[in-house]
Amino acid sequence: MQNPRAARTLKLHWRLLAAAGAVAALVSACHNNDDNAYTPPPVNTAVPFTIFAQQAFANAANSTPVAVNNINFDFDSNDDPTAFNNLIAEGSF
Amino acid sequence: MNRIRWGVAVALGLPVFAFASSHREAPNIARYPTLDATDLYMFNSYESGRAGYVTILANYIPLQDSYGGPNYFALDPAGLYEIKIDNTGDGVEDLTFQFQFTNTLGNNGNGIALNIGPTGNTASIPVPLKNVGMISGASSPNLNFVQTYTLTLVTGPARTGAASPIANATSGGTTFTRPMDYIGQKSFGSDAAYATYAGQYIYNITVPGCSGTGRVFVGQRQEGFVVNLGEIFDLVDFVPIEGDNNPVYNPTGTPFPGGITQNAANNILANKNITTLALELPAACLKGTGNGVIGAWTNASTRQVRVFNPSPTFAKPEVNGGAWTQVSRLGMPLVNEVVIGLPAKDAFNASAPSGDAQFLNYVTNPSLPALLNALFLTAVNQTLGTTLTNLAPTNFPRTDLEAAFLTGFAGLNQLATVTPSEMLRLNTAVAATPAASQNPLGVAAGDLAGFPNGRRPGDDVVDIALRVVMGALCYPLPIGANGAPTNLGLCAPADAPVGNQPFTDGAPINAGMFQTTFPYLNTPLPGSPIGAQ
Repeated sequence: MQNPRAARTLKLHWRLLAAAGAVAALVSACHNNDDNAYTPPPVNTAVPFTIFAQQAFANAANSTPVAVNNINFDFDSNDDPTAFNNLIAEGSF
Repeated sequence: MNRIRWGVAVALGLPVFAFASSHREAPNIARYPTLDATDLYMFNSYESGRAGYVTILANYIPLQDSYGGPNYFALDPAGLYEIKIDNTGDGVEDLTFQFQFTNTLGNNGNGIALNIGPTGNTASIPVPLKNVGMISGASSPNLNFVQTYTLTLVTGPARTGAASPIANATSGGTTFTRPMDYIGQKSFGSDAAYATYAGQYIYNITVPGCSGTGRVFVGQRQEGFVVNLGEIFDLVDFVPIEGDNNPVYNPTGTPFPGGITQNAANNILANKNITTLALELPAACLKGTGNGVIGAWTNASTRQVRVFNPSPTFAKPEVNGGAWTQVSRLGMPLVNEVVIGLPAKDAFNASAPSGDAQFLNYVTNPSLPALLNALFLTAVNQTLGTTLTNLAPTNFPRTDLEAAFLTGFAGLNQLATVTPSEMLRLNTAVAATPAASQNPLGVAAGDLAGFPNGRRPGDDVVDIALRVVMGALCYPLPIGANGAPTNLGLCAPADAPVGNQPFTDGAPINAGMFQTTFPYLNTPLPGSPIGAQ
């Protein structure tokens, strides 16, 4: 019998993985070498904040910050206390 | 009119403006004091025997009460602190000095613990304090917290240039230590003992690509910025013009009835400490191939994403990842306080000098003179029976302020290429003025080694800024041969009806208030005993 928490986490991860490609493209589109320029997202798509954060963690410190003014975030992991466990375990301080 | 007599000022209920150099000046950075740059100084060193060196001091963590234990004021280990130098004039850094900090517990990282309980049944209990006895050095067994740092030089743009570690010239090591904050006289013995203790952390450094030895120090200092802060916040609750013939602040003018007079008690920051990142480097290593003028500013950044650890430890209270994201910026004093509008202050903090065109209107059409006009025009006319229509300068765009804030002055502190951008500019070829001869009004008083040609601890940037925004540059300044009055040609006296007045906040400052050796800012105030602050 599957652990309910594990099943919930798996379901969440599946949803997030499905969105990851689009988010990666969006985040990539937001990058720009010119600090004063910003390329808005091509569509008004809600971006899962969890994926966004994970994508940001994957960026090098010396990359350009992702512009966020025109991104609508979807905080679908707000009720999941384990959403960022992997970041806390693996992230750098 | 040549001389306005100001009577009692009447506040008109208009918005206030902040006037601390950069202390909590923007809504967002006020939330992150450890990353909040408060002042930047850069000057040709005037310590005896240090001609040919430039000193740069970047202050962080505003309004420190010295008794702020038990944690006191460590810099942010998740932050990146930078001092940037443009020596070509394109508004882009050519050299960046990066400081990054690490916190370590005493007792080899385990924290000092005491055995508590009856003999034979004790428990080892970590203590809650940062010291458990007197401190005399970094290896003191009584010190329960140490902050170390690395210093890196990046040549070229800060994020894409070539990075090299800066080393201790004596040991060759690349990790430096900052002294513990001045907890109090019982922990260190005395003010003199703390000064000796902190002095151990002034390091001679070897800078890649630079012949000669520099110096670095990071640690707590007594706040060097002087300002009548509370009164200014409160709708300028005084008449901001010299009320007597003070030989420095109003040497030739007529006292203004009711005007404020110089008094150390007007400096409300006198009992505060600050944290200083100090560098002294050979000028030859900073000026590159330019004309000898360098521009400087300091930034603090943190990673773009922060995840709070729901089970925090000393080493990992949070996790930070992603690109460095700038949250604080400071070059010239007071720009983000009295020039940039409230909606754009944090945008300014996140910006770079190369992008300053977006803020140009704040300089060419400044709101501060209009606010002063609104606060005082009616009172002046009522008191004096005059019919002045405006106290603020009327030359728009304010090219005089562009020169002061964005380009520097030709022949004095203008870089080889002129790109309008806000930074502190210093001509390294102008010989330093000895401390005893410095004039706190700097260039405006004929002391060409002072602000705005760089900034020294003893320069009264508040009064200079007040005078400049009200039109001082529209009148001749004593910068010609033998102090001859010289017209800058930026605007005319008719443009600035009160531009020749000795504006002041009444909080005096001079070089004699500071030590004359690196790092120049004074030993911090102790946290105890009561009354020593």
